Amino acid sequence: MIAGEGPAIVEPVTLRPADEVMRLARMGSAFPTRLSFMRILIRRMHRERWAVSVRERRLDEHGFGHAVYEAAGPERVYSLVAFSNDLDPSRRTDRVIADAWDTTFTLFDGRPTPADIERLRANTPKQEAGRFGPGDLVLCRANKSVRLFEHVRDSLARGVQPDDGMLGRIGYLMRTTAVYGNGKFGIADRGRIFERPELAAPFQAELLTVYLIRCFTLDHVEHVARARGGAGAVPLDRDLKRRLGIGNSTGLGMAPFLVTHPALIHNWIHARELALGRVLAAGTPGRAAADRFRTLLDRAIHHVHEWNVEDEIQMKRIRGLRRDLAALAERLHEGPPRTWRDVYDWVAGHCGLECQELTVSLLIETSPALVDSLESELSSDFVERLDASWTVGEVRRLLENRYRWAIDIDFNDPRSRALFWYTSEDKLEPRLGRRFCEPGAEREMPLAVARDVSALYEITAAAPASEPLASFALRFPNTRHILMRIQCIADHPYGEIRDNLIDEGCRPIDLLRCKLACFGAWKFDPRSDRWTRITLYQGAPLADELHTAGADDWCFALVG
Amino acid sequence: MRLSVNELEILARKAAVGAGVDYGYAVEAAQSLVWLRAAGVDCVAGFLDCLRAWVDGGTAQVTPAYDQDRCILSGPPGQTASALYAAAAVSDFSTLMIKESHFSRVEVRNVELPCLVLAQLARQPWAGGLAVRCLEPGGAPERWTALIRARQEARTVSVAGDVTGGRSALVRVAAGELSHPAAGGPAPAEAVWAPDFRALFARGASIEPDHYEALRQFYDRTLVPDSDASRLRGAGAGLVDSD
Repeated sequence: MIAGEGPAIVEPVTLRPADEVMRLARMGSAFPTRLSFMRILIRRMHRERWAVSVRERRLDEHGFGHAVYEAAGPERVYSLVAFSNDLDPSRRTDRVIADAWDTTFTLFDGRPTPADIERLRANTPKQEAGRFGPGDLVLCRANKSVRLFEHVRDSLARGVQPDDGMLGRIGYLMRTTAVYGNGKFGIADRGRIFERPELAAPFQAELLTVYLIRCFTLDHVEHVARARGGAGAVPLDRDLKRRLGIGNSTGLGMAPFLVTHPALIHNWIHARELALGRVLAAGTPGRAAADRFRTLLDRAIHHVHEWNVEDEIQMKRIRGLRRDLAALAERLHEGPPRTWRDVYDWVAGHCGLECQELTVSLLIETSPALVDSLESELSSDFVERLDASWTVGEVRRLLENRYRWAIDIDFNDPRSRALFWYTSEDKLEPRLGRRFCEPGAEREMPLAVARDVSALYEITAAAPASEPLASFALRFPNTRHILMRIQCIADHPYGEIRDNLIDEGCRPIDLLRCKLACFGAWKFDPRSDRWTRITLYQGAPLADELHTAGADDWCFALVG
Repeated sequence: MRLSVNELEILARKAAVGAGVDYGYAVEAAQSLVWLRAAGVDCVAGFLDCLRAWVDGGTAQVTPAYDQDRCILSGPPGQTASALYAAAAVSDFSTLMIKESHFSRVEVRNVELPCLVLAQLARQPWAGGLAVRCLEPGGAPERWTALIRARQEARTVSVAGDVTGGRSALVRVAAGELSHPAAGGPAPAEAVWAPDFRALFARGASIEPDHYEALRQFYDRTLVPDSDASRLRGAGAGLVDSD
């Protein structure tokens, strides 16, 4: 029993096994939770009474120029330096290989001097081709959703509010196409900032950047509308503003991260599973918690009804989710749940994966007192290294206990190794190729964990069980990386995806959704099995609402 | 030019992979390079020499042999041992020495860039108390001696002698206090390496432009041209995103 405020935390609790949680199909059904990184950031900004303000705005009547937005916490100030440019519409593309954008941004550590702004003006619009320093924390760019931007601008200039249906359907005025942190292009390493409490949780600097970009886009469209409409222009209605987030296009660039950071991913998923376990172990829900669950369920039902995509596979899943949620609501209508475990077990037995994972999100949401302390367990300073004192016998036992799913795959079947991951020459970005019809497989990235584990199991069969890894690794040097990995997974079981990432049926979109859900993204809109659009911060409090009582209550935001 | 620490580590790791070093060894060699930089030692030039020698076949992997209480690592007769492999191997066998007491000394003979071996050892959490000697070939006086000390989570290294030179040498690792043959006692430390990652993160890692270019040439060997199929299926593919 852990003492503290609120309901008692009973530990240890039973967790869903990693073999169940870390399957691609389930990862590809993930939803944000209270522990998602955007929620953590907004809670901190609320709790610590951060102030967001415009420090400088030098934009012409078309909205071109630069602006500086400032987020001031209790100890430090962060500044978003934004550059808005006149972009030829034919060059407006979400592809990472683009070389020009409507807007480009740098999150600066502190308050930039005029010299800093001039330095950034010469580099930020170039993005990957620019060069940055340790005082620059995040690099980002965004393009307008031209259709909505122009509609909102023209409506406000005419003195009327924009069509709320169109606004809700699109959900953002600008869409980011890359958000770079952790040392890319010379910007600050995470090692420089991770000891700051406000940036200790994962991706807080990046998500602060996106939040400030949202502030910028809302002001930006009003600025341009005022320039057009003069005294007749009106500001955007507050409720409509809140329905606007920031769009994002995410492709394969994000996928390898889930494989190459096993200890970190373990911490993310383990925290979520521990949160769920604590809620399920908490016994009979009180009336307030049961009411809260029903309120959230109603909100989720409406949210999912507003979630429509062109992708047929995802739309079919959404329709199934709607049916499942309706069935859950009907069941709860018959009487309050005896325990949260009953609710989860019923959903697990009767509903699809989308509904199961959404229910996890709902359950976690009902119990902040049991959950929020886990925010501090999301980071990792794990360093990959080999413990060479292990023996081959210990390795084989671990493989048999943890990696049966990989050992049992038949890699003689070409379909099970049809794909290979590589780094592209064009933009140094991860890509996925077809092994038997595209060149470059000999240069593949080390992401084929299942295949490498399977090979390791085969090789160790012929080695003496008592042989230490010190000599085994020298005899079979190409196994060192997978030996290091399985030793890491021995202590971080949620860090391993239990599927073959080079199988012809692998859907990288599942990896993306899992990671994006950890960030707190909603409205997954797959455009293929390799990239998706999402919305960030839709429904989140506006900058001047961060201190209001309901600032943390924006999950399953309604936009219709 | 200045790189972030992350850039330096990734560049070094991928350059090693591009030079044909097995991935797990490339990971550890890059980490050791960064550790050295945090300790104020710039051995990028030596690291590049290691990559070139590996590509040219001028260096070789080590294999272990056992002689009484010694584990001896060496390449084929007459060939220099590659530090890219030997550093990890010395560390691995020293693990056995410390944890399993299989032997009391680990040696690697005729190894290039011995400071990479020292860094690899110093990064290990169990390395406090290890004594390391670097000897010239043929039994000439010690080029350097070092004692690794545990200081809370980090390890510091007290060093006497010229550590960063690229000439190959014999490196001998033993547990316990160092006995200096000339002085008959612990070696007087001329320098203490206390890796300061906070300072390194604050200032970044400077690198000579020609060293950067040379590393990039190895790195580029890991890259693959985008295929048309990949372009057609990537994020934003086929769209002018003005919607």
